[in-house]
Amino acid sequence: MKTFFIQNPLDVSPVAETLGACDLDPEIKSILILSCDKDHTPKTDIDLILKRLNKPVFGGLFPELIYQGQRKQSGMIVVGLYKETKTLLFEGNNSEEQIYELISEKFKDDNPEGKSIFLFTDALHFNKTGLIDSLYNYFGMFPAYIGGGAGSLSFENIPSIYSNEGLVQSSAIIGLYDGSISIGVDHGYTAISDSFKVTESVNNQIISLNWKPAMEVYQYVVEKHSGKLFKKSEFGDFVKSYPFGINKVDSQMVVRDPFMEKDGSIFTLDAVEQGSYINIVYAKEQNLVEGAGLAKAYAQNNIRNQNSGSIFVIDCITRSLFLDENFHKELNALDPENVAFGALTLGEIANFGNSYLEIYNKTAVVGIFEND
Amino acid sequence: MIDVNSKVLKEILLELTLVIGGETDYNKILKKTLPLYLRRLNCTVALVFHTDKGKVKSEFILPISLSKTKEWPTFREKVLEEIRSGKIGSLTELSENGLNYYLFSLNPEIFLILGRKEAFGDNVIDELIPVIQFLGQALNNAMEIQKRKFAEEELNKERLLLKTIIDHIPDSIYLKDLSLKKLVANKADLFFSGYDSESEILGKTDSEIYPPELADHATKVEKEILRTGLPMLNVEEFLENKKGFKAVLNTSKFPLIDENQNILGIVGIGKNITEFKNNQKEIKLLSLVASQTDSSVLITDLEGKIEWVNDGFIRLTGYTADEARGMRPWWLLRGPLSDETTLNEIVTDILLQKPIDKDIIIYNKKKEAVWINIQGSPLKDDDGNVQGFFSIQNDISERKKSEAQIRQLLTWIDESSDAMHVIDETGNIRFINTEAANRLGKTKEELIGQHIGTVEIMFQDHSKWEEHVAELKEVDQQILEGRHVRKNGHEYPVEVSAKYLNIENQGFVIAFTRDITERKRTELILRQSEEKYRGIMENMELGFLEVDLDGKIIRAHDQMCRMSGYTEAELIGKNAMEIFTPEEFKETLLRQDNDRLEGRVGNYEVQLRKKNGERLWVLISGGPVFDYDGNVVGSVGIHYDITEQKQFQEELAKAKNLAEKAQEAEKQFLSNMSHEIRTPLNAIIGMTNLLYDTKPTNEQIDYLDTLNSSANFLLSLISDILDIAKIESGKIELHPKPFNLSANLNTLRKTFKLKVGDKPVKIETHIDEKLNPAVIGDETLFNQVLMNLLSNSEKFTESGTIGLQAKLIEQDDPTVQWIEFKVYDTGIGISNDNLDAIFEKFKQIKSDTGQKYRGTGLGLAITKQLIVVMGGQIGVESKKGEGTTFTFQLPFKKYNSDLDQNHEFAQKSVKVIEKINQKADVRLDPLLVVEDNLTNQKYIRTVLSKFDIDFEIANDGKEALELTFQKKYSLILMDLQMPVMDGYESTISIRNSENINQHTIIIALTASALLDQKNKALSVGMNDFITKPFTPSQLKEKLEEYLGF
Repeated sequence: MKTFFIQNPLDVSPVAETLGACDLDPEIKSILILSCDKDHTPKTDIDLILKRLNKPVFGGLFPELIYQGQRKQSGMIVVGLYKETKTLLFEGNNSEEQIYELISEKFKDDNPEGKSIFLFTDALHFNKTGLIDSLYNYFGMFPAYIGGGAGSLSFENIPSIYSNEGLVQSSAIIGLYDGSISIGVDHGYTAISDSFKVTESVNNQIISLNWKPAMEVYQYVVEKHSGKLFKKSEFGDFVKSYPFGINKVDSQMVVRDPFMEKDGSIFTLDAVEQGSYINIVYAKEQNLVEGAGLAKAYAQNNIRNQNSGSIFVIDCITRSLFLDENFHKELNALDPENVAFGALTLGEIANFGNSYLEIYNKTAVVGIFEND
Repeated sequence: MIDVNSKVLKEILLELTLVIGGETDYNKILKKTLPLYLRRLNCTVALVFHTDKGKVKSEFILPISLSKTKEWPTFREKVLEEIRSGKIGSLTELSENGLNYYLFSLNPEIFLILGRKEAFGDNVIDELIPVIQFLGQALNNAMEIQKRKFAEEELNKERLLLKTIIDHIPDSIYLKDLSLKKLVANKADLFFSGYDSESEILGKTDSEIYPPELADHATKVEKEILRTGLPMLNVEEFLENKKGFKAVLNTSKFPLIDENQNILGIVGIGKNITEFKNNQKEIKLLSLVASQTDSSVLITDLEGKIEWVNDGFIRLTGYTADEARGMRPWWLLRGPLSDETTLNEIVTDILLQKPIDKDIIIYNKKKEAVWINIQGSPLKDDDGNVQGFFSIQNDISERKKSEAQIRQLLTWIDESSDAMHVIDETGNIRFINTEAANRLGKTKEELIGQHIGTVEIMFQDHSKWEEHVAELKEVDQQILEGRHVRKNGHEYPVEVSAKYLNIENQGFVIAFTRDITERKRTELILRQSEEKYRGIMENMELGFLEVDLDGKIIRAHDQMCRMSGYTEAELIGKNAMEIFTPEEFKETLLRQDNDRLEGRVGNYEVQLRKKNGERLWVLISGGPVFDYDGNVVGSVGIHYDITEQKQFQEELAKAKNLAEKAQEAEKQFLSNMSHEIRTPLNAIIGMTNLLYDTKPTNEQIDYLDTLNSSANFLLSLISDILDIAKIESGKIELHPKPFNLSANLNTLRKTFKLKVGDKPVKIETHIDEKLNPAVIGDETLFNQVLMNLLSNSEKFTESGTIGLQAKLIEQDDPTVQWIEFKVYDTGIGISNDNLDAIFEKFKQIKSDTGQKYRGTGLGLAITKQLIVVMGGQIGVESKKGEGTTFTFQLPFKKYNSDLDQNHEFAQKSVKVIEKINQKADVRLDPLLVVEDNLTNQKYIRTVLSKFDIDFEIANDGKEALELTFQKKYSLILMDLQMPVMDGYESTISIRNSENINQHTIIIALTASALLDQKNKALSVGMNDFITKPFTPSQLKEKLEEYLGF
């Protein structure tokens, strides 16, 4: 594959030059675009370009990017993939049934063995759960999955998905890539409480744990662990260090990032199912960095082929905010050779090992391309 | 490994059980449960086979893609083999392709297969089996329910179908048993019986339903059928039920016989033929009446098709009865002049069953238009039900013709835009049209019968009218002017055209009047204005000349005479062109004459020959002269003497030409100087950079440092001098484009962090979060300003901090953001005495120690000028020994993506991509370096070899052009000033000719820092430029940008 970094995507010329060159390059079969929400190419301009490309194009617009060991708050990464990718765009508010029908129609003749799926969804304005359930019911564990939530940290509803239809809003795109990607996932958090049953929840709102108001339970555990009294006004500070971990059978916990408290309920970035069991989890800076290192190590261990190549990293934007100046340590753990590209996302999507396809929060995902 | 005791597992098993809920649909149960086995138990595969004697009736596969895998057919066959073997107990385990499979028999026909990478522990299986058995039970129940429902539905469907059919038959259908009791009755039979529900008649005999005489007759007939087994067909029977409904029925009855020929009962069918009977009677009567009349008569059925016509119709239309029958009247009779609206009204009235009375044009068989009056009404039966339509048509062509003529005449008179009235010989108004009444401000009724003297002042004296009539009798027609009086007493002038007419021995005057107020007023204004403009023109020294269509002078005012030296008498009748126009201006004049003929005005400058032979320059403003009918009858020209202005203009043009040449020379000098000095400097700096790579001794490195820094200083001195010259000549141009301000400032910070090197100086930036970082501005000039100020700080700060701050200033305009920038340092500072001088040219402030800092003394002067050019202003605060802060404000347009979608960028992107679409992959071919200077060639050669880049050299633009026709290059580095053919010309030729490098990227190597040279390079088709001298890394960066290696 070929990767390009465009410093100033506000200037449409280099964007058009790069995408145009990828479209012409006979080696390149499909194009992945990752860009920053702060200075992306204006929609009208990029739409004109994307609609004229002959090759499948997909990707997203994220709070930040990762390129060659650096955290980038502006710019655009264009990846010319040497293998075919069959893309499917979901626009608007599709139900799970509609999503499933679209997938079965598009991929009815495809054998997913030895392939991988990229998926980028609008982080807040798309039915993510419906998408991953449909995808897994259709493809199961045959392909590897990697992707994340696109959009802005301001949570405004902006066009965030790149496709051959243009840069589109409230949508998601998947790409069935004709090659293997070895996946590693880890977060570095460990439980500091017993498991609580989620006795009432609606989507991403946890109302009660063990039949007690969720906030009451959370506050008790966090105060006990931190040794500090917890004012509701300080909720924003505490949640940075104490997210939730959903228990899974045969698999590591799936972290959920709380971001708001209201009337005793706690809201998380992604859904928490009623009836599931969750812990309150905690990690020190060092644990997070170790988690990132583990994600990289898992990905390396899972490689089936000797010809491993480029490294694609999906890391949570809140990990970078939490680690702040020390985030370079995490980057170094994920990509010691400073060769990776990727994005800091609003929710990470992957399937790891033998487990179901999941939406993670506060998690590092490493994908190593094989024979790219 | 799943922990069998974990709360999570128990919860999952519970969920797997509870999810079925009350669902009784087989497929829905599977859709609900199987995804959960994948999601909750991390199964990779969940399958359900429903078999019948070893054959698969249905299969449910999760994930669906499993069926697309190569292994699937083999695996499926293996599983089915296992099933067919009958060995599967409640659970069988299999291992295939590295997965563990668990085959559960839910019942003898249904099997669940779960696949998993990690094996389930035995304890987990024990826990799982009851859950799966529960699923099996649910599926069994669902299948049973499904089968039952299916059978019931089929039966009900058949019943419903039969019932629906017989209920919708209009004939009565019934079935009676051997005791003649009704078993089945359809809706029509129920209606005939006079009852409202089936339950009232089923199980009853006719004697319980109908009056005795009817019932007896029916019973007798039916008993006979039962006895003989013979049917009774098509018998007319009279019916009357308890509600008084009467009808004639055509009845057929026949025995119902089973397969053993036993009679089971009687089936009866009765058709209501009452209407048919009545119609037959009425039609007979009607046709008798209709056939007697002279008028055309036709009858249509309910569908509007002709059923019957009389002889009158045949006479009117020419169609025979056979030709007309079955046709719709309007298919047959309508034509181009048939009024569609009337036709629609007729059809609508027929549909609404309303009587009609309309006049309309029809067409007979010969396609001749005939006006007819049609009157008609619906034909109804006794119950008021419409059975058809009856109409009579009469030919009214003659009547219509005369009506039309009269109407036409009256309309013409009344709608005429001319005012018209008819007066009898005694002077009384007998007719007046709308226009005439309107002009007089009265109604027609107010005027008719009044004496004409109430309208026309001239005839207020009635004897005048009598004289007028007498005169008219003699001359037949007369045109005269008079004055009419409106109702409000207002008078207005009129022109009257009067004619005497004798109609049936009675004398009338027909008068057409025209309001001539406007004409009178115009005549007056014209007279007055001519006088006025003559005076004005004389005062303004404008010479007025009027000529006819042959160019002969009709009028010449005094000023024209003074200008030309002729008297008016000498000019009248002479041809203006011959007398005034020198030969070289005649063509101009002829063109102008043609314009006048076409009614156009025009201004033009020509020379005029005076009587004494001298010439004078005049500005002529010419215009056509029209007569009353709008025809051009001549032209007028106003002449203004511009001899003096012409002389002045000529002198001015000469002076301007001189000044432009001087300016061009100055520009050329600057450009040449820039090139001449920079070219050797390029070599010096380039070679110095290369010498560093030749392992010099420490002493040599020291010399090289000095050489490098001196050369760089000389280069910055030249750049500054050129910049200031450029700014002062006002030639600097802004090239705004979108850029990311925050990214730009962060890059600057990193650059200066490197620049301060080991000095204990901290570099900090503070960027206001409220700032919208996407802005439109001239990024190059903005960078130059900040680079100058930061370099200044770096130069004067040995320790401490250098900072850069960007802050949003509150403002009203939502599209522009004003930003205040501060560049501050903790350097040596400037005393108040010197503060005012720092923005002046060639001023350098000395330090206390007398140390002279290196610099041209132009940097801050340039900075200030650039800020002014960008629309901002700069100030400075400083304290000696403590540091300096430069503050400046600049406006930037917000680049608000979608709002700011200027078309230019969208267009640009399309152009760029089109350009890209035309070009081949650039990365595989060598570079072409076009450079005449051998030292520079050597430098570039060394640098490119060092980067391992393949290249070729051309010694001038012409050589380069020839090479581009022969070979594909990935990129061309093009010097601008070269002998034989320069870089501009070479680029233009490459871009404008069909060659393999027509779209190859061309980067200018310019030794000139003048912005307009750079712009010129871009305008002739080059893609970018590098200013010489450049370092190896600058060249590499540029090549990376375009070639992406």
